[in-house]
Parts: sequence; C-alpha cells; structure tokens
Amino acid sequence: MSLHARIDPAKAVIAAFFAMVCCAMAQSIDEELPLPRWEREAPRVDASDPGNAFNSLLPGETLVPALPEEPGMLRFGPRLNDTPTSLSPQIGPTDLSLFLHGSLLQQAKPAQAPRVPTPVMALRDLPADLTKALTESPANTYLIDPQSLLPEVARGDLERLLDFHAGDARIRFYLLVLDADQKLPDTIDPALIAFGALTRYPSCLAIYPSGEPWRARVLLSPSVHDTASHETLLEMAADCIRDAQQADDADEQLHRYAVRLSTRLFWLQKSMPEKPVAHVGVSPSLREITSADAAPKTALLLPLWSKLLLGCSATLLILWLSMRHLVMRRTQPTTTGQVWMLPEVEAQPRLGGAFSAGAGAVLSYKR
Amino acid sequence: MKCPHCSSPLSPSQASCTQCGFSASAIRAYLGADWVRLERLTDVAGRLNLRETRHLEVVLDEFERRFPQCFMAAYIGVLPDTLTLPDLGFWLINHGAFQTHQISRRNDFAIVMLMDPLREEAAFIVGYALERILTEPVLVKILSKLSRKLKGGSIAAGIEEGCALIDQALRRSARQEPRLRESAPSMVGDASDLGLQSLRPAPRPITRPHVTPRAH
Repeated sequence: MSLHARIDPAKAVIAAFFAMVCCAMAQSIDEELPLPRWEREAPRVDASDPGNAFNSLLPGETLVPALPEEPGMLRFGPRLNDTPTSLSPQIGPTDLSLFLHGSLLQQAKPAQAPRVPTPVMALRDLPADLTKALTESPANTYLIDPQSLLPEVARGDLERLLDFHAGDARIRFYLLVLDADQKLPDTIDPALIAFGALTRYPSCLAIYPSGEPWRARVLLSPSVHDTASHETLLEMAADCIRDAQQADDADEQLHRYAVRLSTRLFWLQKSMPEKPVAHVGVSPSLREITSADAAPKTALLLPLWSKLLLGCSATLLILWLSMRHLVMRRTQPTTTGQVWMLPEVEAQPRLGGAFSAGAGAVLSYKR
Repeated sequence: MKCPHCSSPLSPSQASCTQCGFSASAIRAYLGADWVRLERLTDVAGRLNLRETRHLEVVLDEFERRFPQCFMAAYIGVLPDTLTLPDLGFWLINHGAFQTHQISRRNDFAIVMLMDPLREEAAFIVGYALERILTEPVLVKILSKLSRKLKGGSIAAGIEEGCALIDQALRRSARQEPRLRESAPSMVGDASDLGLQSLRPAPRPITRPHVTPRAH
C-alpha cells in the first residue's frame, strides 16, 4: 500500500486551513496584548509614613505589591538595591535588619573607620561595684560580661563556644569583656575572679577590651604557664591578637579572638602532663603572658657584692679598651692627613760614603 | 761606630777600617763606582710573588707618605761569600738611585733592608740622617721581632712588619704636622711620557756651608 493512498485529500486541506488561522490569531495577540512597563521615575514615598515600602515583608502581608487598577502599569518595581534619592536618610536598604537576622545582611553594613587606640592615660579602671561582681561570678560561667557590653546574638555564640571548650578541653577558658577604655584595676587579683576557680583548675583568663584586641591580656594558672616556653606563650598571645585584627567589627574581633585562643589552648594542652604538677609552696596566683617575663629576674636580685664586682669589671674592661685604643692609635700606621717630620742632623761622612757609613744591624735567623 | 764589614770600632776621622781595610773606594772597586737604578723591592732570589710585591709596594708608598723625608727599600738575594749584607747596604745607599714615590728624596734618609735566604741573615742599613734615631740596639730589637716570620719563610710578611716597626720607632723622634697638599706639577709635561726616566739629582754636599757670624 502506497503512502498517497492512506492520506485523505480533504482532511489535508482542512488541516492546512486551520494552521493558517492559528498563526494569524497568534500574531494578532502578540500585537495587541500589553506588556508590563516600568516607570523610570523613582517611586514616591510618603515621608510621613517611613518604611511603608517594606510593609509587605511583615507577616500577614502579601509579598507582591498589589497590581494597579490600570492594567499594564506596574507602579512599584524591585528597587532594594537602589537607594532612592528621594528617601529620607533614616530609611535605606539596611532597614531590613530590623526584620531579619543580622548575619543575613552582614555585607550590607557600612565600612567602619579604623579605630583609634585609646591612649594609656585615658584608660579608666573598671568601676568598683563591678569588681565585686567579678569575684562572685559563678565558676561555671566562662563568659564574664558584667556590663552587658555584648549583643545578645554574640553573647550566645560565645557562651556556646566557651561551654563547648570547657566540656572538651582540660584548660578552662574564661573570657572577661571590658569596655574599650577600661582596664582591670591593679588592686584586683585576677586569681580571685570566679571564686578563685582559675587557680584551682588549669585555667586561662583572657581580659579583652572590646574593640581593642591589641590590649588583650592572657593570664594562665601556674600549671599551664609552666607547660610551654615563654616564647611559645608569647607567640600564642600574639597570634590571637593578630587573628582578631583581621576583622573590623568589634564583635567579630572578639569572636575571632575567642575562637583562636580556644584553638591554641587545645594545642597547649597536648604538652601538658596528664596529671598536673603540684606547685608546692607557690602562691596560687595567675601568671600573665608578657614580654617583660623574658628579662631574667635573677639579675635584679643579685647581692651587693656581685653588683660591685660587675661594676668594677666593667670599669676595668672599659679602661683596658681605652688604653688599647690609644696604644693602637700610637703604634698603627695612620692613614689620616698627618705626616711626620724628622729632624735634620749634621753628620760627618765616614769611610768615604756620601750618604751612609753602613750603620745598622745584622741578625742571623738560622734555626 | 763599627765597620760594616768586620764590625770593628771606627773613629769618625778614619777613611778606612784599620782591621779589614774596608772603605768606599774598596767596595767601589768590587761593585762599581756608577749609580745604579733600583726599585724599592729588588728580589733577586725570587722569593716574592706578584701579589706580595704589589702589596709591599702599597705598604712602602704609605710609609713614604707618612714620612715625606724618608724611604725604605728591600733587597733579597744570595750574596757571594766575600760580601756581607752591610757591605752591600753601604754600597746601595751610596750608589743607588731608588725608584721612590718622590724621586727627590735624599739617600741619607734611606733605610735598606737586606735579606739573604741562603745565609738566613737579615740586616737594616740606614743613612746618616737616621743613625741617631735608628740606632743599632733599636734595629737589633726590630730584627729579632722579625726573625720568627723570616724563619718561616714569610719574607713579605717580615718586610711589612719591619716597615711597621721602623714606622713606630721613627715617630718617637718625629714631630707631627698636617700633610701638605699635593703641589701642582711644575711643568706641563713629564719625562716619563716620552719613555724617559729621570735619575736622582746629583748628591748634595753632606755638610751645610757654615755661616760665619758677623763681627760687630
């Protein structure tokens, strides 16, 4: 059976006519249907009702603005990334942080100017009423923020971090947060903080001025301090400060500092003996990691006779060096602009020599 | 005063040694009466290499800059048995035209160091102007300090140290003055440009003319 025998010519004509009609209708629809158009002008916002542009984000509101009655005219477009010039300065895209978690809009925060370090003379002691609160802080509260300087989210993050650290590490990590221009008074013994828990267990206390990580102090209990060399501890403290300074935001700096110090304490405990060494006869005080520790303290405790001996030795050495220098200047050929003139003497010629009579000396150096 | 040949004592008025007959005419008959051109370093024995020679040239230049009147020369050679080191020193100072930094220096301010590596002897001979400064005991002391280096065969080091010790001894009798500025050349050209080398000017009279006091 051939192919032409199976196709009905009448049906083929009808199908072709139907296809032509459909194409013509589709063309007319494309020409007639209006497309949505965007206004080039900025939306007008009622200044008396700021924030009304974001009401749609509130619960219960529709996410899509209502279409205008006139078809084809969409009056509001997605303009979140544009800052309308007509908006009041109090309103901007960052207002979304009022409704969303801050971390979602972290990138939208304006860049902060570099912080100017607080001068040493401008530092003030922690208020006296708060110092008592430090000593009465519970031993299992590792984040000590008596002035509630930290925002709630950052506080929660740090508390979880320090709790996790305390549960998994042998060195307890206490973090005391002060204000940027505050310091711990010299009258307070850090060992008394948290009912003296820092001296009873291997502990680390970091005193952190918010926004100024370079002034952070690290104190260790004696058993931890003796674990590593002074250079290692100094490097650890410097590393934490360096890592904190990678961030600009004060809370982010504190977060990075705490994470870094927690990590370094984990490293440090690897070199700790399983059973901590008992420090018999040693006062249970914390030891701070400072560069001043590098100076040999025994040099200051020398007896008087040793100091006198050292002084005399130094004086003799200086005298000997001075004399040697003078002698060397005298004996060594000088290359300065000085010449030496010998006296002219009259001599009677001898043996018929015009310039010399053979005066001199002879020496045999035979072995 | 001693005879350079036999070390017997001499009086200033003697024209020759009464013991051995040494005199200027005697040594001239043996070595010649003409002037001879000499470098400051004459190494007939071949004991100095090129680097040592260059270094010693610098050392001797510095010595001459510090002592504008003096110069020092060194002779290293094996002498015949009939000739002593002081004999040769005597003849060199009286007949040598040394190629010094400034050719106009007088030979009576000369210091000649002589070494015979075969005899293992060293000597210092000085001109008249330095006899009272570099006396025999001073020179013997200097030579004894050099003997260790010379025994070890370090001829160049011995010459350098000898120059330094002579320098030290001369300063005790010298007065210090600021160095004179290099004077401008007195003539436009230089004989050396023509390939000619000038010899030392004729020796001046040893004694200065006496000035007779005026009669009042």
